[in-house]
Amino acid sequence: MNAPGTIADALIAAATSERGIQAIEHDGRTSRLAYTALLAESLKIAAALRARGLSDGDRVALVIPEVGDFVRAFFGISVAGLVPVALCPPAHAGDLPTFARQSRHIFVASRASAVVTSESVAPLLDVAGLDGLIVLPIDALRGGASIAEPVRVPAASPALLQFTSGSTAAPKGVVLTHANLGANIAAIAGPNGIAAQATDIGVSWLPLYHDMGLIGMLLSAVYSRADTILMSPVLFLKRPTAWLDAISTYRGTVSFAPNFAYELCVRRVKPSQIDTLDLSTWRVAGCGAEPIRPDTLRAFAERFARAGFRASSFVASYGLAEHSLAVAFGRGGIDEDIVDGDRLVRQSIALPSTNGSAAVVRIAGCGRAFPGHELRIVDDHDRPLPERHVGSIVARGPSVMPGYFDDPDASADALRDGWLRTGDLGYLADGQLYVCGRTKDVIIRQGRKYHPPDLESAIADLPGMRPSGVVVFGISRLGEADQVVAVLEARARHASGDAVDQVRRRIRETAGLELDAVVVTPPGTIPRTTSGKVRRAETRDRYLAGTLEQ
Amino acid sequence: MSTGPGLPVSRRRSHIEDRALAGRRQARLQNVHLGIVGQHPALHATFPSLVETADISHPADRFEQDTIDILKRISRRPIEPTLESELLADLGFDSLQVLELVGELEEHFNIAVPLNDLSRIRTVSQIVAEVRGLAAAAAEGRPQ
Repeated sequence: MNAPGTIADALIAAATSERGIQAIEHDGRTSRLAYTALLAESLKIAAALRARGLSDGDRVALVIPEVGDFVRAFFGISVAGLVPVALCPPAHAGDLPTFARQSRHIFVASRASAVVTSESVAPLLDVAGLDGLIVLPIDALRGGASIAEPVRVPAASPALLQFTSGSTAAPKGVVLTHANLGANIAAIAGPNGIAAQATDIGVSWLPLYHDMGLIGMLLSAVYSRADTILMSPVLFLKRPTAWLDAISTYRGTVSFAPNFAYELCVRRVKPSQIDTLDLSTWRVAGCGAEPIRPDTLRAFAERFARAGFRASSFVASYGLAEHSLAVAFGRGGIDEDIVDGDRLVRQSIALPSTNGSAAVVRIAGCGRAFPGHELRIVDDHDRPLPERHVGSIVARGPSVMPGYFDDPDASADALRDGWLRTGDLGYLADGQLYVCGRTKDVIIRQGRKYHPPDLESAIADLPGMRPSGVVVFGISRLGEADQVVAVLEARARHASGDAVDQVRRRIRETAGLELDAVVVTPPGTIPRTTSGKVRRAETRDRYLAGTLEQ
Repeated sequence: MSTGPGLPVSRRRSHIEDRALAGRRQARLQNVHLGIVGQHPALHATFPSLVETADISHPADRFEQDTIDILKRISRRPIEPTLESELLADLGFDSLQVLELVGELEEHFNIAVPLNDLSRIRTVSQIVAEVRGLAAAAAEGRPQ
């Protein structure tokens, strides 16, 4: 089969098969959407969208928590020659103010012409301040005539805009072309990926507004014409067993999730529930989107062995939205490098630990670059580093985005001579990539990304507090969840106990995040640049060294 | 990070609801204690919701007590929830635990919480009101 040029090409090819999507909604209701029916429905939705004056390349937002309707809307927008921009729906955002803040930013940043939504969300949209946007309920787009065939667009044109998930106040829109998607999905399906088979059955609870769910599970299934089961993330988070039940019931073979999902299953699936599961068909248990903890995977494998789960099914993966989705896939199983922690921290060199090593660090292997793609570890001057030297991970190839939407400065920062600077730290050993940190200040908890400047401004805005300086940073230790620390300078009249409570409360309310430590210090403690900007990394180093207040 | 024009209003409304619920609860407890529910017409007018629920044997207490028990079980640290507690700000729940809570409540009370209601739940009293409403609808065979 020739690689499809566009999403529409892939759907047309899939529609010649008998296969399709089984949607499982948040309340457990299921419905089947064969690819043939999906194509027919998409052509109707496309006709309705074009009839409303939308034209090639216009961005169309979609805010739809229902799985089946999201899929219909996504392909309807795509076969209409338009560019879908998926948003996190209110029930996933946490609360309405968060939803409103995120949505307003994305509507403006993507210059979306319309928003397609479902009946359940439409009443909540007005809170997001949708000035000038056309709001189109999906049901109003489904009844009419069809366009004869998908609108032809070049493979080099934008296929979708992916806004990074998480709490950041101003996420950037990653532009991915049809060619990017085709290249990455082919790489994932290929021999350095999961070696996809025609008989594979995907099972996913991953959000479809997020790249791993949208590209990794939905589009990958359509491109390889495979059956797939797509479940509402709300159902999984309410009842983690639902994920494993679906793999068991539908004889799933491929399913990806972040580390925390495996941990959640270990913690919350009861022994009596495990007895009803058959996980023996699960040949690719992918793990990615956040740091991989080999201990979690071991605990999962041990707990679910009696349901037929095999540890050899684990596939560690590394990727980012700017690289369409995946950069590299591990060799399978719990593949870890055991290195000398002292030398790793002090010299940025990852040497295999010897018996005499005091501190041992375990790092999950994420495999090698895909065919036609390149991967390098470089120093601060972009010079390649030798094996086992820790540096910045950079990647080049057909999966790399052309840039951020409408943001040439950020695009120039991220891309140099075609090399994408991932912002992550790692090293290569025997051609295998090992990811061991971040150069960016991003904090990751439960698969969600938090940006320190957002958390800092939430604290700085605290009424009555007016701290003269605030720094929030994450401490990431290998094999552990990120710790989040806030340091603020406050005047003496604020009893520090009060200030700590207020800050914790504020961060819980605005970000749903629990701070691990809050330090209140006198003005002048936080290190600053000559222009008065706080130095986040130095504050963190001094905090860790215990010299913050000296 | 400014909020939209509609937001302050809806937040204010939720606080008013909380206070009203707390007030009703207090009145109900006092009345049950004094055994006067159903005897004073003036109370019927003042506390219509009290009259509605007074026929069943203290269902409100069960909803409140069970919800609070489930909250304590899910929390990873010791908490003493009250009706006024906010899940995120006071009880330190994260978004994952809120959904875990909803899952447990659905199972315990045999209800299905509509998707949209998830983004409106902030306080314990709102959860109890939600659960009570859904359970009543289920009992009467109304669509939830």
